[in-house]
Amino acid sequence: MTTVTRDRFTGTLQSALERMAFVLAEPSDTPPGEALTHTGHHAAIEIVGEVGSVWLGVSASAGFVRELASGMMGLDPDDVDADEHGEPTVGELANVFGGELLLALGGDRLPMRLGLPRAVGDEAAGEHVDRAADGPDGWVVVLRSDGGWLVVSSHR
Amino acid sequence: MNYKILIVDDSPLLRATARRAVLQAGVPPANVREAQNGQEALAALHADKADVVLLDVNMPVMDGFQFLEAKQKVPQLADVQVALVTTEGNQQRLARMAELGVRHYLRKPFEPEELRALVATLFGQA
Repeated sequence: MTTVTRDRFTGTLQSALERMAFVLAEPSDTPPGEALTHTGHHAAIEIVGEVGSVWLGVSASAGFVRELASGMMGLDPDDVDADEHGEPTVGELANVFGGELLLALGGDRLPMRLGLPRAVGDEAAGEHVDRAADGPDGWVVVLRSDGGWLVVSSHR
Repeated sequence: MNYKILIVDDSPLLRATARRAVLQAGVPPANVREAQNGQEALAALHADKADVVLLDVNMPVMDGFQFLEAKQKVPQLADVQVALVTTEGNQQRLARMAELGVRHYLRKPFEPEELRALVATLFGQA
């Protein structure tokens, strides 16, 4: 399994956001724990197989949800209800980022499959971000856009 | 443009995005239906056949791969075109889905224009 680093995957995340919804997001030096306090919508997805599992989490602020969902659906951000679209938006981001991570880890060479995205609570999201930030095989990317905050984390 | 289209994806956000692309291609809103998984999609096709299915793969209940296997067993659905819109990137699984009749593939993440172009291509062949 190829090791995926924070620096390597940041560009992949930025490119995906721009392709999906014309969202331009830049890396932030804000500590992950502090960035997480700005978010309220969380989802996770697992890549599983015989050689182990990799967890990927996505947390977004209401403003980021409005920006991304409006970009995808062709609506004005003010017309997007973040409470209604929050869970589907972070779930789809987890799905897309998970697919990109699976390819980066080895793609066809890996006997691993992408699971299904699921909603995650505030406490669990925080625990996984801490584990990703502190662990040897983990990473956390904090991105800021005009709309708000996005925190993406992964650990084995 | 009187084509009937079925959008199959467990993500309501993706279904809304795809619906927008299809409507922009000139399909009447009444001809666009949605399903959340393969099982719902099969039921929808049995109730009223579509010309084109936009199909996700990674879904609960019945995934896109299982849907294609089930569809292949129904001769009445043989002329329904299927295009994958998915995060699936495994070449072996994609090859197997091509054997099950898939001729078009758009990998997520995609630009909205790529989806509109796919829909235009499908309608040119339906």
